[in-house]
Amino acid sequence: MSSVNLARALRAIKRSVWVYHLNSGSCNACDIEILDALTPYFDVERFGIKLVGSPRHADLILFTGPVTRESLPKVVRAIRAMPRPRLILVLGSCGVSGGIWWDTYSTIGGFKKLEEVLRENGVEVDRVVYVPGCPVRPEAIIYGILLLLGVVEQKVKKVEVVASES
Amino acid sequence: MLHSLAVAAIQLVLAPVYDGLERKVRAAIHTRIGPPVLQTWYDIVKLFSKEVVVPVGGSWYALVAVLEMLTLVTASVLLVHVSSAGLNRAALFEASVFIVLTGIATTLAVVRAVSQSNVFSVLGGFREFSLMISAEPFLATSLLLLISGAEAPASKAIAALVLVIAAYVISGRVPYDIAEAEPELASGVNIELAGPLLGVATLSVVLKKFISATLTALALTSWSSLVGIASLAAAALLTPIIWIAHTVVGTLLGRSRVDLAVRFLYTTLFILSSMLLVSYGLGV
Repeated sequence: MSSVNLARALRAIKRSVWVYHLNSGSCNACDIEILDALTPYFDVERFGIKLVGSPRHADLILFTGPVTRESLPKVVRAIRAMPRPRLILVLGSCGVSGGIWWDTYSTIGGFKKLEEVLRENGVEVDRVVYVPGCPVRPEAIIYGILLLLGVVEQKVKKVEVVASES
Repeated sequence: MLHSLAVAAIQLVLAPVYDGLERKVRAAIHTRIGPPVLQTWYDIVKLFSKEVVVPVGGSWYALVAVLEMLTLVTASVLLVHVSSAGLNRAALFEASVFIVLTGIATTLAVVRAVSQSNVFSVLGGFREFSLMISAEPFLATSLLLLISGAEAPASKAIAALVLVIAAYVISGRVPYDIAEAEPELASGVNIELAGPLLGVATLSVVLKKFISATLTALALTSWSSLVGIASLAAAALLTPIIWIAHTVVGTLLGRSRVDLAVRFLYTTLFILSSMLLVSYGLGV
């Protein structure tokens, strides 16, 4: 049972987002792009975004990698250490779906599978946004964070098309 | 009593605003836009709205964090009394209590950090301790000598210089941010704090910066004969200016090796303090 008013906390997070970088076994290409996005060139501090060194301080996890079996317990521990609301930005093809490692013996195959593990362990995640790309671009990372916070509208929308029999 | 509470409230409101100003100035030096001036307040409000996570070790840990902040608030209010007395013998008692309280606040931070099962927290605690023993005794000596009447120009100038350096160190800026060096080092006295407790710790951090700027203002106004409201107004006006000067120094200085920064500081302050004691003894 959480002791937090999620709506109020999410409103407050819109102006102050502290991010924690969590690598679950990626090739480091997405991680380099994360570092790029956090350089003075992109100046993410103007949106209140700040990198922190502990999941205890984080509002948002920048998640990369296909989740190797070796990293799985540490990943679950790091996400559990975050105070709620827990926001996760899943970055790169590997994080989103496992990428080319989706069915290898040593990975569990991306964040979708990790979500099941988190649910089994009673770790609740409040909001997730997926940013695909190999590697993901810094602009896409910043856009993903703003999308997650509800500052910008999602450009791509799901449209269902039903083909008529005629 | 009411007067002191009002002073504490004003300081608690102003310190995060000055910190926001610091972030804006640092951004300007980096040629970026930077966060809004109220960003530190946004951070604190956000932290207070987050889940309360009681760290490993129990709820006493939370109590220590709150106690540390209250100690710093009291120390900060006492410093205003010292300032209004115009840095003379009338403020000796307040200054002594201020020194004791600053020491207690740092000790509480160290105890809080080293009692954790997290090794990174313990590491941060030891770093905080090494900074404490290399700066606070010199801060105490110089402040007490300035107050108790170091009238000779040489001893007064050296005492003011020692106070300015020690005050910069307790502000926790580069290269003396080794106890809580945020993203670069995954360690620090606040590593296990989360949500509202981290909010309280953030207020403590900005209060320490406020105390540091006020101490430097006191050192600079020690030559003036201002007392009462005039002295207080001078310190209040100088505080944000010195805060920005500290920011510029912190932004331009590079981070040095953890042990080198402390060793250099200790050597410098030891030499200056020895000179101070000799000049005070000779009356020059």
